[in-house]
Amino acid sequence: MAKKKKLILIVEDDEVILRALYLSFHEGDFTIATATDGASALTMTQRMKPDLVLLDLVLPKMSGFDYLKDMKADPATKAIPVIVLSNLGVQDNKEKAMGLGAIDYFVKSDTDLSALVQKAKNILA
Amino acid sequence: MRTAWLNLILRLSNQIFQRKQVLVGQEGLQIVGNIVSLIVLEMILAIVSFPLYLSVASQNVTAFLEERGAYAKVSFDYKLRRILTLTGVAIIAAVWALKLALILLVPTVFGPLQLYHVTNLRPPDLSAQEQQVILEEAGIQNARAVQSLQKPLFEGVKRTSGKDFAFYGTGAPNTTLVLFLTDAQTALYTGTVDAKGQWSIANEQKKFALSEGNHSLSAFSYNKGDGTRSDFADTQYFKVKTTWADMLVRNVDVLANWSVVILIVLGAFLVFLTI
Repeated sequence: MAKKKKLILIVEDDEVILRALYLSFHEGDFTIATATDGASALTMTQRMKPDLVLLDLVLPKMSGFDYLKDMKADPATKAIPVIVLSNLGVQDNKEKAMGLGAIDYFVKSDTDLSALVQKAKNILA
Repeated sequence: MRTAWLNLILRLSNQIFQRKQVLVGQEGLQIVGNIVSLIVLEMILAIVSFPLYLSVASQNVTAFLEERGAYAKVSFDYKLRRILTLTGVAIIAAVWALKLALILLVPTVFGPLQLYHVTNLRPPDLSAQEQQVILEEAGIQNARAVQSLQKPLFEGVKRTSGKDFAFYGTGAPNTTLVLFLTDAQTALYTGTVDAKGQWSIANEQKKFALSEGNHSLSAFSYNKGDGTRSDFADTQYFKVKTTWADMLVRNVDVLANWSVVILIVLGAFLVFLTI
């Protein structure tokens, strides 16, 4: 029986970055779902129960922080690990995201995508 | 390589985001400078990210939806950005690809032309007066015509670019070749016949503009050492005409210039689309 691929939900409103992330994680042999705003991401998280969420913070409709707060408050989804990949490099944002339950925080300006994929693999191993 | 490319896209996108964030608090020239930088960054991102739109088609993105119990397609949003990038960059790429293809695949645009004999057509011959003027201008009016000096021979006319031409042939080695090229007026050129008896003379449009239609070529060899010249070579004719390829090359050049404008407009659109 074929091994079931791990499902990653990528939440990103910038289409160019979304496609770049898709390509990177597709090579990592994951199944990928995408959401382009916080509200859709929350709905998809509740319905799909992804194995991992890759989350941008600046999102339309619902911010990444609000998404994180709501999904961590839901017993059905709170165990899902969330990695934040944000444009915001301010320490306060990192602390806030980690405080809300994110397990790691990457800043886009100095993130290597292969390292990010490896990080996801390690979490899901 | 692929990861480096994707990382570059990530960094460019982040640069654009950071610049847009500070745009709100800026004034005057700072805003102008930042917008120009943003347009340039968006132009670069559009070109760099172009393969991304081709390699990741929306219908390929699937997800396992628990409530359906099956894989389902998940579509990307932001169609306008995708359309702008794909069409803008594709137009520019097509124009430059066409320009490159023309340079590589249409050598006949700048290749040899047909040489006509006098039996093919009969434009007005050089008048005796014109010939005399030319000879005087060349400072060889006193040269004696001798049968023993080999007459030059035209071997061909070659277009080098646009309406620039090169004429070439053979003649008495180590002599001066005097060439007459007629349009409404007559141009005179001198060149050297090398030791192997080969010569070549170029006419540039900006120096002597050749109009559409037939033109005659005539020449003789001049031996400065003993002040003699050969008889005139048999007059040859060639035709200057604008072909479809000329028109295409000229228009592609115009398009190529406009493609830069398209690229800038594309960058501006992408900036204001997501600002």
